[in-house]
Amino acid sequence: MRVRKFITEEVDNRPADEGHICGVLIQARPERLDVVRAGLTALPGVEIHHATDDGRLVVTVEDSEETTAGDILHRFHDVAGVVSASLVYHYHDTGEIGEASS
Amino acid sequence: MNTTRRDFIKSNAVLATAAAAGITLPATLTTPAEAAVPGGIRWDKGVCRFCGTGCGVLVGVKDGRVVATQGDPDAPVNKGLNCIKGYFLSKIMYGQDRLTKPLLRKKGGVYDKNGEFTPVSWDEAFDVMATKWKEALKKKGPTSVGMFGSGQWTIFEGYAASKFMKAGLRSNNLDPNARHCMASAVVGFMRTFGIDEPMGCYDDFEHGDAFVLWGANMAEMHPILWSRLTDRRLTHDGCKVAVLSTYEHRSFELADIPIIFNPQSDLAIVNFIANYIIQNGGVNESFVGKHVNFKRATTDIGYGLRPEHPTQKAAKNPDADKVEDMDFAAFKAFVAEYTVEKASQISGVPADKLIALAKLYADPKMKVMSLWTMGVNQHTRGSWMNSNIYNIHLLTGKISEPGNGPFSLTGQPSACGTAREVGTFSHRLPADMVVMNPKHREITEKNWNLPAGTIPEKPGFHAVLQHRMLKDGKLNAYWVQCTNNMQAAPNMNEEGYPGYRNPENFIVVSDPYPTVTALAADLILPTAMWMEKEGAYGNAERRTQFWRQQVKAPGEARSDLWQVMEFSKRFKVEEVWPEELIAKKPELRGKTLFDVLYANGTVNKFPVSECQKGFDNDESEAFGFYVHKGLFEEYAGFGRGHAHDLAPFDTYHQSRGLRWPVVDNKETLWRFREGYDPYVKAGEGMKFYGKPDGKAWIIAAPYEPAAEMPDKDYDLWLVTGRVLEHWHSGSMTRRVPELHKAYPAAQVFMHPDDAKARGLRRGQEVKLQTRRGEVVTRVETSGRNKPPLGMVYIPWFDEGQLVNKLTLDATCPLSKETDFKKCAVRVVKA
Repeated sequence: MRVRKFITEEVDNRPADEGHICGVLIQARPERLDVVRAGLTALPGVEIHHATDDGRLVVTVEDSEETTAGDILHRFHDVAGVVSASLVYHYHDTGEIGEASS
Repeated sequence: MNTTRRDFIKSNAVLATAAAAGITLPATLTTPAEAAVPGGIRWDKGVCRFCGTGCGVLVGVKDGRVVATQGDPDAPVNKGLNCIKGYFLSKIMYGQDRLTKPLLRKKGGVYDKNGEFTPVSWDEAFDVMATKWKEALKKKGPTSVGMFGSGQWTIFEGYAASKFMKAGLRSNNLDPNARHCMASAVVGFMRTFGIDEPMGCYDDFEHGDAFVLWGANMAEMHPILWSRLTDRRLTHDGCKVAVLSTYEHRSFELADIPIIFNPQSDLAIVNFIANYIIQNGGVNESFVGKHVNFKRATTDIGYGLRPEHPTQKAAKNPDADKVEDMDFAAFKAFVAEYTVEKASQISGVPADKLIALAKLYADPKMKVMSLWTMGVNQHTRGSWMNSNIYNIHLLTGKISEPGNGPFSLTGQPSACGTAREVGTFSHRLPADMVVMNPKHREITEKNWNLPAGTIPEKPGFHAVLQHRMLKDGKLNAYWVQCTNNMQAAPNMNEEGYPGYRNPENFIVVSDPYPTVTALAADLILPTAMWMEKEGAYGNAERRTQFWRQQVKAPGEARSDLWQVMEFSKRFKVEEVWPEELIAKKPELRGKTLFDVLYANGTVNKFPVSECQKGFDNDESEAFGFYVHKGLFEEYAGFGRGHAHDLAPFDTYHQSRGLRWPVVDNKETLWRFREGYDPYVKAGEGMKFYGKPDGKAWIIAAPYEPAAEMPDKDYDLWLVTGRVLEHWHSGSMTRRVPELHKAYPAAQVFMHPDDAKARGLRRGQEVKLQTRRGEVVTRVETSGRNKPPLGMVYIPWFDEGQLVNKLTLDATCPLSKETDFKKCAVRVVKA
């Protein structure tokens, strides 16, 4: 049987101009909010837009030169003090985000 | 890069995220420059394509493409959140190898089973297919044709297929892949309550005091429900979580009572809990006295293997589902032998942990929610085990009220809504009816306006039996839709693959992608998926949810619904029904199955003009009537007034789903209890109305061993399952490069000492060998899953490592659901 065909054909041929922007809700242990802030900010493409005292952070993550937003999403759980990370918003397009428009 | 546009998308992301969390943002963050944004996105509500949780998603379309998804803040299931797989929803339709044309195996310009896949027109595809179907029907009759469907079919698709097979072709050889995941749950519900699906709902997460996971790894497999459970655990004083599994996994991070048990020993643990409840005054005597009957299951029922298999031959009562009456005293005596010592000895769990677990159930002040999925269902005693969990909830009366209830989780988006409620199993009809019951057949034939005797009374071939019958040459024309069953079904080497490639058979597979199953077929039909069609799913809490077609399918891909209905035009009644049947309704003579089943005055009642303006509806435009509305209204007629009430079609397009029974436009959160359930009258209190006397059954069933256990030749338990990043066979998630990168290949999780004893290092290539086959993989000794000594775990998503070459096709003899969690394996250097 011919298997794994799409893996070789597709992963190797990813569109170069693909763009992603995600909105993610992070739940942190409130007492460790500072550690979490530092840990998240260290990740490429991540911005913290708002944080509440009880440990909820509104974060966006977008593709960066080093890596994609999708790869970063997997790394939130490894940041010390993070209890959960839930994706809320995802924009994905090919060549659209960067397109000049009026 | 255009910063205006990017900033706009980003502020939308921020707003949506804050809204989901109920956070009020400072004013500076709440005013995106909307006016400056070019080319708007059209947003509409949808339902996630993956698991049975049924999360609401908002789907953003621009220029005919889905470009964005967002957790739906108005969806009660997920309240704006998505799990990590939600990230990829907008990408699953856009894999580069989408199938866009029918492909037929051909040599020298004609069909040849050993030919190469060649693009053909839909006409040619259906011509060849119809010829094969008619040949089989003529030669061997309706039992030689079959269909394998899906818990991922929309309600409309399942219903249309059920009519086509059971009435049109007069064959009950229709079964869904839900047989592999939910059949034991169904049998458990039917035996204990006489009516399918959970009595409670997800609202129980916000009301429970204790949560017990029976084998389920919700942190990875049901992440949104896990986040609701986590919230409750962290915010409710005294809340406890017990996690039971045969290996340690991510859900253990939240466990107050972590329990690793030996495979199959859940039967002993649950019987011990029943015994503990009785011995320690935990029985709710007034509840048990009024609402429960006691029954004893027939034992030694075999393992659903081929009749000539030695293990099957050794069984005294193979496949017996008879129960005998017993009373409370007899039940008490039955479970008395499951002392903590005995349960501990069988399960390997320390006695103090077993007692801590049992106390959660026995304490009358503790509201308990039990949760399970494949660990309990994919079990050679899965039907028993489902009922055994109900036993402990019934003994304590902890059922059908907020926070108290057994909850059977679901793996597929419409295993409940389509496979179970529509009744696409080989023995089922809509609204919990069955083909064996003459009254049920009569009701169905009447609703479908067909002559009496159209539907055959004998159940058809179930999933595992279909592969055996293909191999044996008794099932010859076979259509698979919306599932990757070659990769998913057990014992692929000995049953599935030889069945598909049997020269006597013609196999058709409809799929959006060239899956392992599609490539093993003779004809591949390209399928429109998810948002490329109008759809309806029913989730695990009885919630029926709709979406509209958002985009067009690529090339010539067409929905499963269109395929079934269009194919039905190829059959004249005279070609498929005997003369004496037609004679009972001579007005059907000369008509096609399409006319009889779909242009029947009911299904074609609503004009295309009723479809929502501004959205495509390809099937309705093709057939000239609002197909979805007609099918749904005819189908809903089965359940209305019979405790399966569905709301009017249009209501679902206007709501975020409703939990049936929906009576007077009001959904039902907890069934069987007065005040919550409209079918329980004032003064009745509780009524398990699925049973004629309104009483649920406590069914005594013992521990019995697994079908195959480790021995000196194959010395380890093999457990198969999923990982967070991939859904089922990976046919969608593996086409998302980020997910593929995150988890590219399956690996075998193994205890470091088991690896060491075999001279294996982490990352090393190894062979997994069973009596049925061999798979090459790599060893992981320190990953997210930590098996105990003597057990290995491997996920089955990877089509490069076909794990079901290894598994045994042993099933629960009652539900016919495969046990994918237990067989014997050895691991050697590759």
